[in-house]
Amino acid sequence: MDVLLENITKSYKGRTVLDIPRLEFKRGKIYSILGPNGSGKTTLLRIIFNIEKADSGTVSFPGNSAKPVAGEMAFLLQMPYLFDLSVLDNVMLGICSSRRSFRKNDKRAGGAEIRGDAKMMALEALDRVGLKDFANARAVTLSGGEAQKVALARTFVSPRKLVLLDEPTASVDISSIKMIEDYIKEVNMKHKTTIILTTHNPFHARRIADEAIILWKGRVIERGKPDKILTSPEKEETKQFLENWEIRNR
Amino acid sequence: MNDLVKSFYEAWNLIFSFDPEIYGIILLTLKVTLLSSGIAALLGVPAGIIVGSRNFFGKGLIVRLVHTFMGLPPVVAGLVTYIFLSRKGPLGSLNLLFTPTAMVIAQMLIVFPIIMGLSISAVKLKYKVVEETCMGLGLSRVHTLRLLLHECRYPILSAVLAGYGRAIAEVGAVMLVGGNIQYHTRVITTAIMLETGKGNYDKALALGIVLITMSFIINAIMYRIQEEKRE
Repeated sequence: MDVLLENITKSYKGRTVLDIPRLEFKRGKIYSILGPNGSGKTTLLRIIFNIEKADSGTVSFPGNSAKPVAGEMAFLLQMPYLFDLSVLDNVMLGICSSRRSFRKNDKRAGGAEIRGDAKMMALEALDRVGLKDFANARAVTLSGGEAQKVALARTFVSPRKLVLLDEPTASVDISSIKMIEDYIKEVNMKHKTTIILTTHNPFHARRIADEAIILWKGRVIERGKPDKILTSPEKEETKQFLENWEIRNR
Repeated sequence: MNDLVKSFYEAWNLIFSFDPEIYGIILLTLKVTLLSSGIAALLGVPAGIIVGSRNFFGKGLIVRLVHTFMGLPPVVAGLVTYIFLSRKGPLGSLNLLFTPTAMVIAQMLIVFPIIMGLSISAVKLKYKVVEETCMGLGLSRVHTLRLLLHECRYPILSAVLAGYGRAIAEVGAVMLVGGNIQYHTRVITTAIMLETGKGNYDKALALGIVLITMSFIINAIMYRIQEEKRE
């Protein structure tokens, strides 16, 4: 799914959070939005997904014959919330079906057959993040990192045209980051899903993104191939941001 | 002291002798209380969820009014009900005054804001994150509300039980609109007042023991709910 932002502005109490004349995302690519804390990364995602309204400007989906329906997009929050259900039932919530139900014996879900398929899909997604053994555990008992993985499985369990991920590796341990990055790339390749993720880790962007976008005080100051931006940044602000990661010295 | 001990002894005997008047009072108390708190819950919980989960014009005023009425003096609720149901009142033709129905109405007026107010508080903490998570998954509005109710089930259940506990202990309002008529509108609390005034401490104590036991059961259930939530 293509996404086009035009003349997007957003302010909170007089402070400009976003000021983007034009920003485009192409179908089937992975974009990484990089920037320091408070640069507007999360707000940008929330406006794209329409969880928050911009003060002005438009978000459109060129090439999509109609306005995207809810099931075509997904958004993983920065601090994902798991419901007080089993881990499996949480993941099953992500399955796009008009007859989906989160109750075990709900006949209105279309019967055991649909629920059986959904269960298999959910178990596969859990297996992908290494948590299949936790399927029957109560989701609220998981650690922060485990919860993040379950939330990611829930986001990816069903094919989507557009997925927004807000700091998807924020709470996970280093050994799990590669697993999550591989999962993101796999979903992108398999379903041609447009994936837009935010991070303040340039290494993460370099490993998985087709394009990196640098956000600084609400403005896009640079964009391009991650390798190029991270090794040869053009803007002073980008250099300042990257200095903390000592990219240029590697 | 001997009289007190004797009264306790007589009270136990009354309870286990299955005195028809005593048990009639207990059953009417249960009926009126369950009806009033049940209807108040059916109205108050959805109202609390709607108000707690939406932003709309006038929300602040509604919440402040609800909180004010949570502390409504019960005798005022009884008075308002009495005026409405009296022969000269707008609903006088229904002939509901001095009936259990009038007592249910008066108790509902007291319990409804409590249940609604506590439901608003329960929902307020969770609705934003539940709503955004559900939006992020493309879930429908109905599904979102079901999940919100599921996530808030413990505090909402506590709210309903708190309402029930308030209703069962009510005396002023039910005395006004019920009239404490023997075998007709006499409940535990009004009977205790009457029997104490007559000096029948054994009967009053018997009813008091039953009332405390019923309150204890409610509190035990609420405690168990809180413990289950913590697990």
